[in-house]
Amino acid sequence: MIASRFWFGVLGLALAFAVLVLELAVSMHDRLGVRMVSEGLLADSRVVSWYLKNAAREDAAQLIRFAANDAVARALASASRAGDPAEIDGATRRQLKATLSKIAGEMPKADGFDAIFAVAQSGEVIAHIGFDQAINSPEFELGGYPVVADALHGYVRDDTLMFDRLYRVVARPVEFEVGQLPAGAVVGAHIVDDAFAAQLADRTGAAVAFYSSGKRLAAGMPSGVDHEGLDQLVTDLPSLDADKSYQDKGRSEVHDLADGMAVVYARLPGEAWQLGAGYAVARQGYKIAGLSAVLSRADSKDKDAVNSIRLVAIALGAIGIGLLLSFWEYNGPLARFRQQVKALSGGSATRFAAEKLRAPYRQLGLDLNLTLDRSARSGGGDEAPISIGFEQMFGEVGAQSSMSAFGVPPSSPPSGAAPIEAPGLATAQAVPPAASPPRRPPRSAAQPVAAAPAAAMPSAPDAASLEPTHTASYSGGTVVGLGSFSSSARDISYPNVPSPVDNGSAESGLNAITDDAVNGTQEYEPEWTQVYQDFVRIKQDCGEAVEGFTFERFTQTLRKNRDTLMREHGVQHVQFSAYVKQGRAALKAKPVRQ
Amino acid sequence: MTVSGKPVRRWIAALLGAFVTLAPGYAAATDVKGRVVGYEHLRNPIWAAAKDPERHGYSFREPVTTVPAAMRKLFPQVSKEICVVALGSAPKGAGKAVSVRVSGGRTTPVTLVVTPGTELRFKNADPFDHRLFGVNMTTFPASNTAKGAIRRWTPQEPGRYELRDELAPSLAMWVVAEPTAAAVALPGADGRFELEIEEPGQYTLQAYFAGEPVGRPLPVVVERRDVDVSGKPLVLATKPPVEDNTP
Repeated sequence: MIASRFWFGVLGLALAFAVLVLELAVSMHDRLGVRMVSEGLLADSRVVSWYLKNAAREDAAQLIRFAANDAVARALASASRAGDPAEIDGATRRQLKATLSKIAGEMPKADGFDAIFAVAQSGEVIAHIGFDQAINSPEFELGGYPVVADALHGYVRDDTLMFDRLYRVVARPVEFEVGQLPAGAVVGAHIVDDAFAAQLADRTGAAVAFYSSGKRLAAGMPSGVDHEGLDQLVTDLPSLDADKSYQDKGRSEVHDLADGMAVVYARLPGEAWQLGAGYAVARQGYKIAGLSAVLSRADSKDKDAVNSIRLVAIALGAIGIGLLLSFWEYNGPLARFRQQVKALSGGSATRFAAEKLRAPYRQLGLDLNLTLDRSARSGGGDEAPISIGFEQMFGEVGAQSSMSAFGVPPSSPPSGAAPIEAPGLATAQAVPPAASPPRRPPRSAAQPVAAAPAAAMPSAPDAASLEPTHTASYSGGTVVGLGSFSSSARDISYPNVPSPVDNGSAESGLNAITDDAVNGTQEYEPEWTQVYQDFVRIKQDCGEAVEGFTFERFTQTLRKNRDTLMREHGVQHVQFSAYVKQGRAALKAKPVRQ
Repeated sequence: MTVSGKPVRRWIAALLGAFVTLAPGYAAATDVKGRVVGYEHLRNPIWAAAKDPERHGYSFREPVTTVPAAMRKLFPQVSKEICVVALGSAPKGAGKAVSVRVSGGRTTPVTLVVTPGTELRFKNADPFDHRLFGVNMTTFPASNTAKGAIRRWTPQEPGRYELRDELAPSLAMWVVAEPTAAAVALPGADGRFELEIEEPGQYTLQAYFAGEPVGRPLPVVVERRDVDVSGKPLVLATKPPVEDNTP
């Protein structure tokens, strides 16, 4: 399953990398979006400023229609000659108003004004249209405003005045006699309302709102832009007092409102400048603000830009590789395992060929082979001995608690409450193997049974088979502890009989021990021969070396552990059994009270 | 003290004069006629300031070249901004209430000389609110004056008072409380004025503009007969200000 796990790792890394790229992309997008919005807002603000100025110039040009009208000039000249406004007769006023209305009616609607005033040289308003609130104000005049005063003195200019509402105003002189002071002036005014703002937004493409005295007066949005976002202006307007750029230059820095709305404020030229009136242009920020918003904010154009074929190819490729690896590492071995199970159940095989199986199934095969062996020894019954592992008995005791330590010498002495000591192990490991043991061929189920009894007969030692090199001496006593055998300086191993595969060798080892048994030492339990054979076979099946692994060594360790367990647990017997643990041979010990 | 504007219709004045002359035991007031000249060299300070581009009062301002350059100067509206006062030798009492019209971005008159204790009545002639206040004054705080409404204020102490409007930055009025002011008149568009002095004596005619005296004072001796000093006009200024170098 290495490849599959590696593939999962690759997928995990790819996913993490994709998230990394996505987060970087979102961050870059948001940063760029903020910059673009800022630049766009400043551009919008300048465009609106330019538009207002240009519109005022166009309005001034439109006023020529009134200023150049002879009837208007004559009426204003007549009114200006009057010393007292009260002396201006009503007919002149009515006639002038009619003239204003006529001219205004002839103008294109797009170029028209909301209000027109005809002002005498004294500043008195002689006639006006579109400013009905002044109808009942006969003393209404405009001469004090600088824009009107300028017009009365020969200038054309614009202004932004705050009457009852905010007005964009333009005025120009009306001349009656060449070389004389103007007879009066005409003033055109646009109400700064939603219609004005909407027209401005339509022509400039900017979302714009006008404000004065902390209130939003009008707002206009290009089509498709939310109108409610500009309502936040009111709460943000007090912050302009601290905006140095706004105070000094009349145009603020970019202000961020809620919901990603950003605005730039600018003061309106004219008297409104001193009244704190101005306009704000707004843009919706392009912040994605998180990975989850990537999908929700993507529109159809974004989705169309995605290369779907490539996405599908990547997905299918990843799935294909995953399936391939899972088939190679899971389905294939499973099929082979199933094939062997069928062969076993069909009788064409007696054991699992573990070497042909891959890692997880190889372990299963080894376990099943062991089970088959035990079943064969117990007469085919299925009463498998219940073994309790060391870990189960004494808790986690480390890798050395496993009897697999027979194959690998511990680097340090075992410790803990119930370690299994392996005295002499280092000695055993130090014995160089005489030769590599031949791989044990698969045996029939009957073979272990046939071999085991012979080995399990310590009471019938075969003196001739005893290895003469065995020099372990008997120190006396019927029951001998671990220290009862004193190994001589000579090697106690059986260099010529390292593998129990060789029945003769194995039996030689056994016989060497049974020789001790004959001497009344009774140093091993009868079933240990079978445990030894099982253990050796498992080691071979697992590919472990068995050189120098003698029955004597085996029984020494088992004795020591048996005695320790019996002493510690107060039991009369300890059953050992061989099994496979993590691909290696291991032993389990089961204390038995009876 | 009375404030007279453009000489009222002459026939009314003649009728009233005849009535006063024929009426036995009635002390008739004496008219002092005169004129002011040189006002074309004065500059309205509000307008002059507004033309400064640094004030951001406009997005464009261009001269109309068909109007003579000499006319394209922001000289004041003499009938509203020049106030001629006859100063006596002794303090006078509070005069009658004076009505001040508030409309069109200014007051009418713009400059007014009164005796202390004279009540001023500011009438809002605009169709929208005004909010007048006295600069650096506690006796005339900012307060709304609705359309058609009248606000009253009386300068109690001699001095110069500047009034402004919070809702109309161009509106500025100067009130001069002068204890010796015997009569006040606003010139007509041609600069002519007529003062009505009730008591004979020696007076000094002085013109005021933007709250300050302008030109040389003109001494006048008032007896029982009307006096015409038009031949010796009040010269307000003899040359244009330096700031005229900018259009």
